[in-house]
Amino acid sequence: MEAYRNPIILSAIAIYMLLCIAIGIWALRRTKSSHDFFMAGRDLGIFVTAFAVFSTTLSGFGFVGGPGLVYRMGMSSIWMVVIAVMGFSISTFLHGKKLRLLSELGDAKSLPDVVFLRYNSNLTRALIAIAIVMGVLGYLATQILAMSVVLKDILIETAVFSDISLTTCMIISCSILVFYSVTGGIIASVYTDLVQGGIMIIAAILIFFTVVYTYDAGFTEMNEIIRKDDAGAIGPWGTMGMIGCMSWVLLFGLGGSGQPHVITKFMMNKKVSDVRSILPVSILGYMFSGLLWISIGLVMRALVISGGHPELASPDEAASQFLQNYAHPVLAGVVFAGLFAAIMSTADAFLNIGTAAVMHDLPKSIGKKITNELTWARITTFLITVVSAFFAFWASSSGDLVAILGAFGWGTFAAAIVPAVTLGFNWKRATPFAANIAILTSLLINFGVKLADIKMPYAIDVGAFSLVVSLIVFISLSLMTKPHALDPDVEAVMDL
Amino acid sequence: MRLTKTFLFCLIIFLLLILSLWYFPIPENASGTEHPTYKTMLHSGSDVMASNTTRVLSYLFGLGVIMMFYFFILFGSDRKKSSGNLKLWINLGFIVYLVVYTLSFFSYLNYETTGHDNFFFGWPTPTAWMIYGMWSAPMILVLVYVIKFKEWILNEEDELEFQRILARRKEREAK
Repeated sequence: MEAYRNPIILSAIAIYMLLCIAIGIWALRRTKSSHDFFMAGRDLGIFVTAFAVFSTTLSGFGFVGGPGLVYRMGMSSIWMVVIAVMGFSISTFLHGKKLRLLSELGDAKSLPDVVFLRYNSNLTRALIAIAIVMGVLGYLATQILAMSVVLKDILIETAVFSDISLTTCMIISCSILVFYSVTGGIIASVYTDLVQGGIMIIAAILIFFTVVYTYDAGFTEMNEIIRKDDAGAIGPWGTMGMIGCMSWVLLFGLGGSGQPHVITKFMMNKKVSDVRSILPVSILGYMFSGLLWISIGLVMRALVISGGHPELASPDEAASQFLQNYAHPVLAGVVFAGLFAAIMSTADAFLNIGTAAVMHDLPKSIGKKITNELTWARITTFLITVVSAFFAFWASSSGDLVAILGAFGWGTFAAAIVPAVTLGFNWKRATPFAANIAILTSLLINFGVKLADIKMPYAIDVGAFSLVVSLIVFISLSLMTKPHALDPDVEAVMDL
Repeated sequence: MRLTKTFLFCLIIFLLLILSLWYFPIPENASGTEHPTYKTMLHSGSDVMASNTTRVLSYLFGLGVIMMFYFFILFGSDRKKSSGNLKLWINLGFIVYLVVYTLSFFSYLNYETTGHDNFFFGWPTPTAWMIYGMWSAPMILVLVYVIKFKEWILNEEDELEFQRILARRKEREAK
């Protein structure tokens, strides 16, 4: 790598970190209550909400994990992008109206608040909060770890920081994250999502054209190289095969409507009718950003196969290797800044829902109410970051538990939340007992299958399997148990 | 209620299909194997789709996934008042989706068995179905949602009704 590239990349990241601090300070002034801290005062406009929805869905995974998966598996993981139109449609059809209206009706500060309003059950609220905390701990630790690893990889190339340790990088990363999250709450997160979303769209389009011009005949030549090596890899199901891919289609298409850090954004828009514009904007944003994911992964696979680039040490290096060796340094700097933005805002979103679960929902479910919520929210945010940082630090040497929680986070959320929330908010016959058993079933299957090391046939994702089972449990038990009397206002809203 | 019971029935059939995957023999390397040259890459299994059982199970598994999407969208569009022709458009959207999925599947079988190397806008034909077809087919749902939102999903009368419910609740809580 040329010597001049690294200072440019570092400058872009430094500018971004300063921007984060500025957003944190600005958001601090706008955060006057716990309602602002958790729900952004239910005052977000169309673009802020739409960008927050697609950026949070994509997170740092779109920059690192996504291209890495395409490099490793061919077209298999591209289904996670292809299914986005259907996925966003499902989320919007099911949550865009009902979740937004119910959250306003109950003046909710968190997803479990709306769950309580719907089911009038503290146990259901507590179980949803516990499922959220379990997913958040794993996700957050992996985000902190990812940010520290990328920071170390970049700093180690410089003369001054050539011997910097992962621990130091983790301390730097967490310090900025704590400052940004504690001061700004969800407002800082959603406005960073706006910046991140903008960066991602522009960068992805530029990266796409950089990739196209890497080969004379563009994608056709690149895909032909991959096809000659392995026709299946560039076929529609990649190396994973059709059934495994379709299980991902289910998990990412339907499971997206069960991701609390994403669907809580549907509780924050100013006007319910804005959702009709939020849907196409978030789809377009995700589609453009997906170009980065697809093009980098494929070009690195083709480059390695054709002997144009040495084999990567790890698939996750696909994006960083391409950016450091083939992209213009300013573009590389912008994408790296976007990567930090993605990790930071997603980590903040997780911190926010985790804090709400620990400080607001769990005490409420046992009949306690915290006074001075805003101060306690900030203290809890700080404490969760510290716990997650220790968790990430411990995992960097013996990463089993975090790997389990991180990898199963999406599936855990999907299987636990889709039946009780996505379906339950749109089906009046659902009962709290069925919701509770469905949540427990989903957690049991997700973790049980992993811990017992049960191999799923055709590499079916366990989250998808767990989702199908928990839905059957939820509907059957609802039909078998006595109908639950709904709050008349809730019933009236569900009829709208 | 009929919608829920039909959905439950379809879900149980889908679960039985998933469980049956344990019963039937699984082709070697059905979900890929290590690449012979590059250790950080995977290589697809050969002749996975040669087995008729795998072909049928794979196609049905995909149908099961699409069935779940369909029912969820129906639940999301369900309301007490009339939702106009919304369900008609949803049905149409999913018929298009099913057709594209089926064409993509048969194009893939052809690609696997004949090693066809036709490209369409930079991609092998079955992959082009996936990229351009499967991605864009749900746009019908998006367009209906955007264009007909004020008529079939939430009209001004509904918004006023919600404001009335909200005001009534606040008044009750204030007492």
